[in-house]
Amino acid sequence: MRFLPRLALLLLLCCSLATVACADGVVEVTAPGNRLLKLAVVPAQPQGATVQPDLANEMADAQVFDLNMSGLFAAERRDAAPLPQGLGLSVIDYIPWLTAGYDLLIRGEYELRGDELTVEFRLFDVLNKKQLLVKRYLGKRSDLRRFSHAFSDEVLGVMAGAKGAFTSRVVYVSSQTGHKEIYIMDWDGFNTRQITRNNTITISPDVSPDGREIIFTSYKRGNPDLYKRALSSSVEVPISTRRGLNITGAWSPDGSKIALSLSKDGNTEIYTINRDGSAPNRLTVSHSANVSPSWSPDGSKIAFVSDRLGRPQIFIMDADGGNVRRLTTNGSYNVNPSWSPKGDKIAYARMMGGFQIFTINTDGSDDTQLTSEGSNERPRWSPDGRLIVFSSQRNGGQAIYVMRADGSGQTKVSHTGGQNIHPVWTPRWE
Amino acid sequence: MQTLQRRSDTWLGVTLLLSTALHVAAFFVMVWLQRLSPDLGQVQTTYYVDMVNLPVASPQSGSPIPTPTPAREEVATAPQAGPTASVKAAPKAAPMAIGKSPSTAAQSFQERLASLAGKAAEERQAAALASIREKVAGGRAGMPGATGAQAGSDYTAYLHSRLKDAFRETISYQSRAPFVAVRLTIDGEGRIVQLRLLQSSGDKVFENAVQRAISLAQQRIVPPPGHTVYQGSFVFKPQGVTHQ
Repeated sequence: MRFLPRLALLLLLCCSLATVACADGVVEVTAPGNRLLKLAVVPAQPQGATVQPDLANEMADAQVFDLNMSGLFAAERRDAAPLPQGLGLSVIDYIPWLTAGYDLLIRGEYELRGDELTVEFRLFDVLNKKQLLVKRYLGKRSDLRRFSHAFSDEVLGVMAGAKGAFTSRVVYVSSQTGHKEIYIMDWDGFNTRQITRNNTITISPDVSPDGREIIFTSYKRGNPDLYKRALSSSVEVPISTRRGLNITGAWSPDGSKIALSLSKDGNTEIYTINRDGSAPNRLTVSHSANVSPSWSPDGSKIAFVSDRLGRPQIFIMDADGGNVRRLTTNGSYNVNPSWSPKGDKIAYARMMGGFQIFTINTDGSDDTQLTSEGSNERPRWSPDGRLIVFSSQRNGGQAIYVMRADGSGQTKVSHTGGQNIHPVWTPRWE
Repeated sequence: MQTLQRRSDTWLGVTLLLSTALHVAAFFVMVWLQRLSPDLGQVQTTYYVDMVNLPVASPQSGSPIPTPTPAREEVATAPQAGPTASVKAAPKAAPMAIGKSPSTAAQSFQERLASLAGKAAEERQAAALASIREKVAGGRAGMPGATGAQAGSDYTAYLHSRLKDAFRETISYQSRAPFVAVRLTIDGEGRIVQLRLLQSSGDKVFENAVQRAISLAQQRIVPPPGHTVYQGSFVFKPQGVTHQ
């Protein structure tokens, strides 16, 4: 027993010597924690004669919400004296911001002439006292939130290496008129607009990769058929009206095909069809239900739900229907798969009393529960993979929520009445 | 009856004598034992002087001990305060000596003890000095060569300290095990004139954090020793994150 302390001392000495040896070559610098970058957003200052503080505040608030939801920043709106010579000619005094502990600063200015709006935003690195980003946007007054979101996307591009998806929107189904119709809103719940007016059941929307068209299932002719329409048009084109169910349509990543579930053979099977509905190609062959196809980002694989083993589970197959393998092994009822844009994870809903949202690696590892409050279904990834939108039944009604990919920051974004379900993210505004 | 009483008196006397003799013997044994270990039970304050290589505030000045020769003089006087203090902490209550008056015995014992403690302190001090001299002679303390003219491991340690402080303020990442390896070139004026990214895990947030840490550290660093150009490689990682 007496030699134990000596042995420990000897080991400690060896470790110290190893560190010294390492320091001669490459020195390791470590620090604890993972801090959020503290970001101050100053409402844009007016450039011309028209002064509208509400407009400036709304833009600042939109950016604060975006950047806080990114999970990289602790953003807050801070008022500051306007720069006397405008943003372009003034020298930023970083000291007060540095003293207040901020890492980054967003300042902007706007000019409103009638309905024409010009906005300029700048991102400053307070710590290094330098400007990181300048963007100028020209458009209508109604575009102000879009300009703010666009700048938030750019900020993420500069700071995280990949643009955000705050200019994208969410298409969803709402029953606020008494019928299930399709709506679209900004990702943060603003600028809601009704898309369909079929006065019947319209469900399961999906947005084309270019963001111009949507497909959905509607009962407007009595049968659940698959329709397609442009977001800018009211013309709805039936693309799959086969006998039985034509449901859970999903665009392929290149937009050339649509995967969907058809029950024309008796039980529901997964097919692919061309974007005009032609050339159906059956992918699954089983005596059970196969629904909810979700393409991998490279279009080579499809995740889907099948109860071929008795209970609904998530499976993965090649895009031609081969090489089927079971993905989820935990839980007895797993549905609603959604493949992440990076291709590494699949989000899905598991029934555990109510439904809860999980993510799992595509090799079946790291099965992680993200939600626990209420009943949560239909997860869909944002185009940048940072956020997940889902429908949640909490406090009575069913609403659209957004959370970060790790389950944090769950926030209700839909503000309309009725039941709000089946959310889908559109591509970002380029 | 009388015989019995006489016999009993004799036994009582013998017992009394025997008891007295035993008590006296026990007393002498205790005194003798205490003389063998005079420090038994006393509190003695101990002072430690830990000689370590701390990052120097102004590395161009080199080690606090610039050259071996004057270093001996400086360090010879420096550590005296510690050990000498322990001499004052000599025991105040000394055991009584036999055959002398109590006050004389205590005084004599205290003197002897002080002498012993002083001797021990001198030995400790001599050993510490010898150790320091050995380090100085071997160039292991302060800057290499102790001239302050070379950019050596201590400037690296100094830079590491500055970078670590700055990195604590900027660290942020979005992947599980990020790392960034950089090579820094610092000119004679202490400016980072080249920052070369050697390797990265690809986490842009982390790369930004490292870049910001280096910029922040640059505001606080001093020129390399002898105003020579310094080059060094550093790998930045979150604390506690291991790479596979």
